[in-house]
Amino acid sequence: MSKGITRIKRDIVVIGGGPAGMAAATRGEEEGAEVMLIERDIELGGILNQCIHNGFGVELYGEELTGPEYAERFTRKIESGDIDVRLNSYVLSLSPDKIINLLTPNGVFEIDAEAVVLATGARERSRGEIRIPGDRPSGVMPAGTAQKFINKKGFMPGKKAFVLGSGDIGLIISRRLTWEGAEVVGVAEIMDYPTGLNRNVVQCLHDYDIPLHLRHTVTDIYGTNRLEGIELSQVDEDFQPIEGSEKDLDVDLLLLSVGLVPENDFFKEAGVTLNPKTRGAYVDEWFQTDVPGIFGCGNSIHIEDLVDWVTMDGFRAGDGAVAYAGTGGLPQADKEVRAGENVNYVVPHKVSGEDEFRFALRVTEPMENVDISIKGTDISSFKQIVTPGEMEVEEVLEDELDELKDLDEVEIEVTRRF
Amino acid sequence: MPKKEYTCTACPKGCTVEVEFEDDEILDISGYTCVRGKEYVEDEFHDPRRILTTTVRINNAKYPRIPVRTETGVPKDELNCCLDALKEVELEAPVGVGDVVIENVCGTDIDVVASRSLDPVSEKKRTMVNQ
Ligand SMILES: Cc1cc2nc3c(=O)[nH]c(=O)nc-3n(C[C@H](O)[C@H](O)[C@H](O)COP(=O)(O)OP(=O)(O)OC[C@H]3O[C@@H](n4cnc5c(N)ncnc54)[C@H](O)[C@@H]3O)c2cc1C
Ligand code: SF4
Repeated sequence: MSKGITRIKRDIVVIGGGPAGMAAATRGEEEGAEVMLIERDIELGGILNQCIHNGFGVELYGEELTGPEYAERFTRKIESGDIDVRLNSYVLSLSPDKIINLLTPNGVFEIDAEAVVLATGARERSRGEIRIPGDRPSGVMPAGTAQKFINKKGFMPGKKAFVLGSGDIGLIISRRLTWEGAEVVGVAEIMDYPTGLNRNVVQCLHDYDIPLHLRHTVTDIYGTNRLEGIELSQVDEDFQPIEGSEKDLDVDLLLLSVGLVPENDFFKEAGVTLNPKTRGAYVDEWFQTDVPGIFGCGNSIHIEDLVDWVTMDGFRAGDGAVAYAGTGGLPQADKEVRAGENVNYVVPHKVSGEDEFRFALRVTEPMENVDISIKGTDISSFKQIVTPGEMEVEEVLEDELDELKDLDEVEIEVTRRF
Repeated sequence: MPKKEYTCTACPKGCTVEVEFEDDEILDISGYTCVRGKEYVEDEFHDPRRILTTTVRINNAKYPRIPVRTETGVPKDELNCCLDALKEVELEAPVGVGDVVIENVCGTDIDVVASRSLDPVSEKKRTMVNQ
């Protein structure tokens, strides 16, 4: 084993071997590019390996797969191909001119990449980020960490749990804990509606009579070494705890399911502009950032709820990277895409208007009977119901592109019909 | 007349649907917005089913557990029986995705299958991973 730095060149380097990275890498390989896929874990699959519940692949395969089943479809394909896969490998740095420093079990590499796809996923928000006061005992952890303990190691982190946050991760972990014999005392949500899928509310909470406390939050944590209890409080319109509403609950496990944040360190390092709303990179329709040749896809761009969209975005980023690495050029994306009325954010942030594209958005509040449309055009689609918890994805097709021609910016709005 | 409330899961709207029933017969359903809601509640009333996804022990693999699933939904009332049956299971690597773990679990006519593959690994590697 050489101890020095080995210098190599690749057409495309994909960082992160979750569904986003696997999709980008397979697409690159199919198009004949020399692709390296880097993953820090001991296997490919990313977060899917710990998401053992079903609900993956409905859009893409018309089947309800579990996370590991979904992952295996891609890992099989990758193992039988020519992609240079580096497991147990950690990217140390990425420069704006696409030089990557990589630490692997076989030494340190400096890779000169024509195009880079960042597919590093997201991390969970921690207790520090939501500032719950109180003691700092063990037994308080992000829900995804507990999921990993239980599903991969068969280790139960507690017997009597409370879950803060009603997103899908929080709901699914509640059922998982129940199935493993723990008691879930309740789930608290600061908003006045659950943020996870309705189906998960029913099948993970109602099925087991787990109470959902809307407009509530955890306001204190007790315990010296091990968690002994929490204080639950109701909140007012400004999300401030209401005095006198406090209630103590005895629990030995508090799981936080309070959101994911794109893993954006490498974007920052490479000088990519970030979107303050999503905390991921600004990208165009090919998922190219504003640093030419650096692409991003999956949860590192914005938090997606369905892996199917992650995969499709990965394919698209892979196509973009191939085009860039091959010819150095993609159509200039100079039309700004803006979040209009009732839209919290939309991805991509720029389009060329020359190619078909998909856009994904989240609305600001739950609404019924709405049109999702591009302002100043006839491009529009009707939705019976939209909620911030469910990403909406729309396509702009070849024959609709004409309508964008004269627009300087593409403003996407969601308007009530009646 | 006894009544039962359901939340329809067929779309994000989540209508509250009320069922009036006598023994195991539905007399009236109300509160649904569309026909999918009615069908959902009929199924939920007569034969509620859930896919069970959990893990079982596995020896000689890089992880101590392997994820498994029921191939399709099992009756909700059998979930605990299925969970208990799976607690007894101990597999040996290699296991392939789709391999049957328990046939006809709890007399439901449904198999429990592995939802991933795990290859055998050497003792040394295993201790490295489990640290
Ligand atoms: C608990 C939970 C439940 C979910 N349930 C569903 C569901 O029911 N249905 C559904 O469709 N979707 C579901 N999703 C969403 C879906 O799984 C995710 O959107 C998707 O997995 C994101 O893919 P990704 O590739 O962007 O990220 P990830 O899967 O997180 O992959 C990122 C990868 O990058 C690697 N990486 C990061 N940094 C580095 C580095 N510096 N060097 C090397 N490698 C690095 C990580 O190790 C990881 O493997 C769920 C997600 C969670 C968390
Ligand atoms: S009844 Fe129809 S509208 Fe209401 S939740 Fe069910 S599917 Fe949706």
